[in-house]
Amino acid sequence: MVGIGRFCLVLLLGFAAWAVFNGREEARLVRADPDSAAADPASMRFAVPRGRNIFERRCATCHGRDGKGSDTLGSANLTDHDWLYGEGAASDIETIVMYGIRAPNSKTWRLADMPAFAQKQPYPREPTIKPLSPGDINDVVQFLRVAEGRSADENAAQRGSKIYDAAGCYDCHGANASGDSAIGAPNLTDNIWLFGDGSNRWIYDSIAYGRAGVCPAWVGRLSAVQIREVALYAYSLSHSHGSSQPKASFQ
Amino acid sequence: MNSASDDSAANEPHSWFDFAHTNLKRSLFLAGAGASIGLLMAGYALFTAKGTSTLVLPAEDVALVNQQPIARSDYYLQLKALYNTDYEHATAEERKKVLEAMIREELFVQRGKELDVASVDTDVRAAMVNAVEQSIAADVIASRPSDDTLKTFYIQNRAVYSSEGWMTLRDLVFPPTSAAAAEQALTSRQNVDAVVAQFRGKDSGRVKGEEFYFAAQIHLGDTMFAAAKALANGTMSAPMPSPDGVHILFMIDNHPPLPQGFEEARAKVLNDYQKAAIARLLSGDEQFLRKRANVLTADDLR
Repeated sequence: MVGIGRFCLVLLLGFAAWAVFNGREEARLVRADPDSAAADPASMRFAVPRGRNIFERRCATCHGRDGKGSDTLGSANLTDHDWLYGEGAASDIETIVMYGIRAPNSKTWRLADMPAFAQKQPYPREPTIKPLSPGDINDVVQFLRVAEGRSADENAAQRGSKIYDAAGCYDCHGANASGDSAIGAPNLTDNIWLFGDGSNRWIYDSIAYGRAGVCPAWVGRLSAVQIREVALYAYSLSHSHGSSQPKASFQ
Repeated sequence: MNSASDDSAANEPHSWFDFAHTNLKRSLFLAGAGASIGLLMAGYALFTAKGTSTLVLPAEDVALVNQQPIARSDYYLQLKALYNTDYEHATAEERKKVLEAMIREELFVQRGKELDVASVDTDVRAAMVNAVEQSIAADVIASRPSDDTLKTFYIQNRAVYSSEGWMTLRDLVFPPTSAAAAEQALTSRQNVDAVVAQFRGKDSGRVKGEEFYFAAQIHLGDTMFAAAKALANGTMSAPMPSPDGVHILFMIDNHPPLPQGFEEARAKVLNDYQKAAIARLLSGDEQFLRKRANVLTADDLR
């Protein structure tokens, strides 16, 4: 009986010690700023396994369990080094986890959508943007193939270049089509495609019918600790500690 | 002898797991364990529950203003927005300045609630309505429907998921006196430009090259567009009298809208499904609010 009593006492003390350790680690994790936490191996060792559990429950439905995303849904691949919003810093990722992209939240990232140029009103937020004809869109597709260094119809690409400027595509994607991560405009020259496989048909559809992917805002649904943990897990998918190389050691 | 042995058996403490008899140590231990667990739960709830008055600042906050937290994540974002720096590299003065500004804002927001600013300020009212709508929509956005649900939605609304059709055609206008002859000439597959020249016709110039259906509809008008979209390649419409002459549409290339497969339309299907769910939820919430509210309306507006 004494043995059982001791066992229960040890169990209770063990639980208390675990709770204290956990509480202290969680507090340390959320008190640090996200980029410092990402640079601290101890914080990463603590946060990444816990973040993975949250990721699998909350994020994997769109980004996949492996974080590689889906090109039919337009959910980003989180394992590469191509960042649509921000520069891939832990703080950038955490901001997206908290407030989402085009989510119903006043702090969400919602500066621009891809207009649908095969519609009467391609972009209701900016009524000056005019529709394009099917031929114009095909010419822009050829221009983008050239921008990517792929083979294309040169004449159509030249026309497409003029249309790219005239339609105001440069406004978001830049004069050299290399995108702008401050507003979530993808780089169109790197052969990394959020939607589809980069074939003419998918590029045509993106221009013709527009794109506006959504990522939920988790603030208020996940605790501050959980948000930090899942952000650090997402960060770990593409960064090794202290470098920009992919690594899985702290997973 | 027998009686003595019975007494000693009765006085011997019963085993810990002998639940048929009382065990003093077991009772004390379980009572103590229960009390400890109760205290732990109460303590945890006391220091973590929303709205609980506490002197302990949660780790995820930088301040509590009348028990209202200022989140550390918001503080870091504010620091970055104002000074373009992170916490580690910010000076003590910058840190302090941002914190003081956020405390001031919180104090004024709380005062605004006391003054019931929402009842008089249209911007605040609009922001509150918007915030409630957003919170309802956020529930939908945060929960991804299954693929089966999306496929069912896609099948139910299949007509919506198609490409935009496009066409290349010529809108030829002839004087009323020569329209019938021009139609005959076109029917006999004579060269279009030759027929236009022969019968003093002209191209109306309304449509130029490839046009999406919606653009052709705007340029041609509803009646002529309806005639145009039914034309096969290389065919022409019946003459259509108009104040500027008789129009004959000659279709060069007609691409009617093509249905999109589920995979192709998947992102749009998800978007539309969520929009529909948000609309349903908003309507349901409004009904619920109306049901529980006590609304009195003026006689003349009933």
